[in-house]
Amino acid sequence: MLNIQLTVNGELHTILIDPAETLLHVLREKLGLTGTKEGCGEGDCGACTILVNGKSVNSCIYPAIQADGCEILTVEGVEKNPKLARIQQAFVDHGAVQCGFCSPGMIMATCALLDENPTPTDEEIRRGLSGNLCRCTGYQAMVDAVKSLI
Amino acid sequence: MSMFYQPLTAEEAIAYLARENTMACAGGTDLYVNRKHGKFLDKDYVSLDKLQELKQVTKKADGWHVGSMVNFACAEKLEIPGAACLAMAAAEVGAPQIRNRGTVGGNIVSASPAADSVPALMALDAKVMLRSVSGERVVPLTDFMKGPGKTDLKPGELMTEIIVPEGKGSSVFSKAGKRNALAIAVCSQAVYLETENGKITEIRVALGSVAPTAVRAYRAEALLKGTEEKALTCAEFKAALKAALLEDISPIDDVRATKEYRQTVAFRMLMHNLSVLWKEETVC
Repeated sequence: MLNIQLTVNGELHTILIDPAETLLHVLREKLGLTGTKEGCGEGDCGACTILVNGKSVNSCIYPAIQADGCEILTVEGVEKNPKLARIQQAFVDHGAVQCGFCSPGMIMATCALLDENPTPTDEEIRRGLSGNLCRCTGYQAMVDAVKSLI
Repeated sequence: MSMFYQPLTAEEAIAYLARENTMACAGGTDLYVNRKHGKFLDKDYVSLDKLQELKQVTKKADGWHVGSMVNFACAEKLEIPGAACLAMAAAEVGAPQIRNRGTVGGNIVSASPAADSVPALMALDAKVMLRSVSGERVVPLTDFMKGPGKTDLKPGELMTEIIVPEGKGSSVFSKAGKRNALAIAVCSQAVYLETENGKITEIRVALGSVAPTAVRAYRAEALLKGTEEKALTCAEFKAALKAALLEDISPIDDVRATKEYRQTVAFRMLMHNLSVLWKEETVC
């Protein structure tokens, strides 16, 4: 076991981890932040998407130890982060939530997309969200939600 | 339980890798999927994440030295002359989340026959630089790839750089998969072309997902060298070229596609890539 330090949604935590533990496991099981979901557990579905130092990553295949000292933003950050709150509201307004399991990952991927490119084209929106699967297949409403933020 | 070392320099990393039962962890996008399937659980890991020296891209006399820890989000923005195929291949890797973590070195060492960056680097005649406590060696990428999941990486070695020679020609990368994002290639192909006075003076064709490793299509290249564009419209030449290409590759039937489908796609991709590059070459 060893200690790492993570700043999660603006709060600094010192956490005791197993050396090869995933960042997803640390967030959900050690910090109780269960907004981040585990879908495939193999980096294919994007349900576990979070931002590490501003970049979107799949937390299910991210060695927690490599995030030592990093700034983490999860969907729970929506409480304090006005940008995330706007994205969440846009998803609600456009009915871009069906079962809701992919929503936290979709919202985080949207956050990363708009940070990098505040005025994406339709094509760029789809490419930006291409790492996130929605089994309810409600993609068009999500694209519309992102477009409303441009 | 596994140990997880976090060296800050390549020097320190190779010292850890010299220990028994260690393996390198780059972005973890392949290793952590393997761990989920019960592989490599007994290993100790040497994290390369903090090695800033392996995240640089620098131009030297023998070409561009791309650090093995350069991720695909960075590689897709590279503007190395003649090496557009590398940036194009990087842009096809997984999805944004994977490209932010997956590295060029990791893609090579994982040695998937479907790795996107490997055919691109082979078409560019890239070499890999390997360092261990006993020294350094440089190996052509075509010799480094040995089979599915197998490379010439020796115990204790760290891949530090990929050397991409600068070319005066043009290159292109194509990938066919079941969908656009997060798809494992059914067939991928990179072509590097140089022409002079309307004739092909240099051509390198490399393919992925059609053999146990990415492969160069040496027979097809030999036929194409010295030819003019109009030869590509001649039915006889096309038949000979297809026959040569099919000898260069050895696709199999698997869950993603049949052998015949891969053969058809490989040839059509070659014709398409040649026409794309020929246009680029004539405009220049």
